[in-house]
Amino acid sequence: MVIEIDRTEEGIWRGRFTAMACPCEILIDTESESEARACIETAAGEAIRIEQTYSRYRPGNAIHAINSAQGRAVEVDDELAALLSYADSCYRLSDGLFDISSGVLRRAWRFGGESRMPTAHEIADLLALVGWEKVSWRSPVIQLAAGMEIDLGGIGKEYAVDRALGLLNNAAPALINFGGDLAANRPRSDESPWRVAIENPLNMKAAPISIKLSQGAVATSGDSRRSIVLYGQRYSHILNPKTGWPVENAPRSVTVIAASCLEAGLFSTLAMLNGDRAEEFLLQQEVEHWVFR
Amino acid sequence: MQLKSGKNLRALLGAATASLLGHSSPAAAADWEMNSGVSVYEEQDGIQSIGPMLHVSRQFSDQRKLSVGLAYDTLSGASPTGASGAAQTVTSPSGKPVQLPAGDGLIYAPFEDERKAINLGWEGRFGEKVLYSLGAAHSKEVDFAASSASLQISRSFLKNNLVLALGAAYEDDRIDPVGGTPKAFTLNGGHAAKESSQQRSQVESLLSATLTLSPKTLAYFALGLSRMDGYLTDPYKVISVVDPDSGQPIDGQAFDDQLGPNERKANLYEKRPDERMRRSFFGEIKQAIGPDAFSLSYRFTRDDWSIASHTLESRYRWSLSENWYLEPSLRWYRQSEAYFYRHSLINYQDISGSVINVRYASADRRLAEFDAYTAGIRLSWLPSKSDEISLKGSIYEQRGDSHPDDAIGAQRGIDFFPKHTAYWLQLFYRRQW
Repeated sequence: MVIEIDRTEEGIWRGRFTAMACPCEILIDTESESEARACIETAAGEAIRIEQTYSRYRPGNAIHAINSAQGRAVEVDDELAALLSYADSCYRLSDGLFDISSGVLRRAWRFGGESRMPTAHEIADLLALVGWEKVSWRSPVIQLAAGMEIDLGGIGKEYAVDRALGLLNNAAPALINFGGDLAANRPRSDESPWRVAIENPLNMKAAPISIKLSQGAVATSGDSRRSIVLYGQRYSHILNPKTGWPVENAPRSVTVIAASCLEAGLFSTLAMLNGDRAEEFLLQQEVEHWVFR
Repeated sequence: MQLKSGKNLRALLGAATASLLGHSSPAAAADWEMNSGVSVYEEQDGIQSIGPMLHVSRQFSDQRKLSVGLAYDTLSGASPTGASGAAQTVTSPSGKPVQLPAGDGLIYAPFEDERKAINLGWEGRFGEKVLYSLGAAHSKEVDFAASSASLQISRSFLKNNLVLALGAAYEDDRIDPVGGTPKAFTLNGGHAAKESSQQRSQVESLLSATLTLSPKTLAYFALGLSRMDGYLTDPYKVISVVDPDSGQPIDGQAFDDQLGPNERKANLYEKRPDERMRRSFFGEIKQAIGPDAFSLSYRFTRDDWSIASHTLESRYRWSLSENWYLEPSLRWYRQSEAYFYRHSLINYQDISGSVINVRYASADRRLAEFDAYTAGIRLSWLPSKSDEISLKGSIYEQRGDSHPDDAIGAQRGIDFFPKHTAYWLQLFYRRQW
């Protein structure tokens, strides 16, 4: 894997590479080149590790083993156990809207290509294979019914951001950005906050909203790249795991600021799932947010 | 779609995330904090106080915080009036006569009081490094009301390893003694007219520095300056005039024409200066030792009443388990006496006829030289990250000069400073959400 390292105009060291199917960027505010390189390599290494370990697309990893177990119980290691327990907590806290077993629904909806509305029959068949409540999870053993699948894609990037930042141990001020999900450990060395621009999906040329981030994370959920338009109606790629259908009247994008990237990501996803009540949901949760419709 | 309400979801998610990422829950997850407690205080001589207290604070984003506190105490018992001599009946401020235990030489007066207090606080910030806080408080007792306002500004340096703060406070008190304010050096139980309510004010300033010496060590230093002006005398305290040979209190008739012989002993209302300036220095070190914590502090004060004091205090928080801790504490206090402190006035020396030759005099033993020791122990239970229940017991002992060298005659048999012991039991409950 190639990591391109350079230095920005302001003297911040920057490492760029591609992982988890998105552009990744690591910013380190330090005078020392060797410290910057070490930090970038550590953070990038963690991103690659998480991608390889938890990607649905890589044969031979633990996720693949679970998804092809054909109804048998599988024992997982500590890290995956922690992630599955976390996914379980998110499922309960969101009353089932966040569900890592809902990935199979994508078989009915082919986004970014064919525009075909699935039939109610197809959806019903797939819904039979969806539902975390149907999964037997008692750490460290997970058992899925045959045909069910789990997909950690909904939290993978955010988890990678938080983990990578954690590994840097607060050595130097750093900001890690994996495909728009980012986090900073502390303000820059001159005590000023990091400046983060929020892209406006409705008008890419408009001046972006600029936010100041001293410490914490920002995550954005949106449909600007993956959606289908059927009969004049835009359907978000975010599917409601309870109905099998895309959320109606979802915002074009939702950006949330929270203490960690995992939390920010979950709030932005849940906001999208709330469709036209996204703003109301975010106000109720009292998290800082921006919504574009 | 029915989702858990705002605060709950955020807090629970925050905790789950922190657990996954392997760090302890961020403190920012708790916005509200409530501290409540009840304390029962009892002195060996019989003073009792029971008081509940409630304090609630709400943290807003960006380090802004609003807090409100309420306290209520009832206080009852008897305290020394400053008069000394053989057992006798004295009319007390609350109008109830009292008999003192035989063998004692000090006269006690009973009292009952009720105190209600409220305080408000606001914290905010200007920019990244400057924090400010404002406070206002008011308390009311039957005969006393206090109102105060305070302001503090602090700025952090060296990446928050040094915080310097400057604070100022102003307090205005109204003193409205039951039965009126007696004129200084007039006879207790006599016919001298009483005055109406009195006022005093206090201005205080504090300069402090908090230093993070290491990830486990914190030091705090403060220099204070305060000035009180106005009515600083205690309207209920008296001082006895004694015969230079026998040491017995003389007849009050000398101080009140309208009295007959042997109607009243000569106990005169005390008098203190109407100004008091005090300087203080305080230093404290806190050290984390594994899951435990140790702290040691020292305070020195000196004022222009000639009182100098030292306080040394130490506590150790012993973490018994994740949910329980025990904290023993020890405190030692010593003060020197006020220059106008006298256990009694001597006839013919301090008094000529009915004229008082001293400018100020007080027999209040709180202005005398004494040592005090406090030992306490606190047991706390933390059933969850957001609750804490504590029980604390303390014992306080004060010792002074029971038999001063200049005791005359019968005074030699009096214990002027009986060992004073008090007990405290407090129950606290703190909750964050």
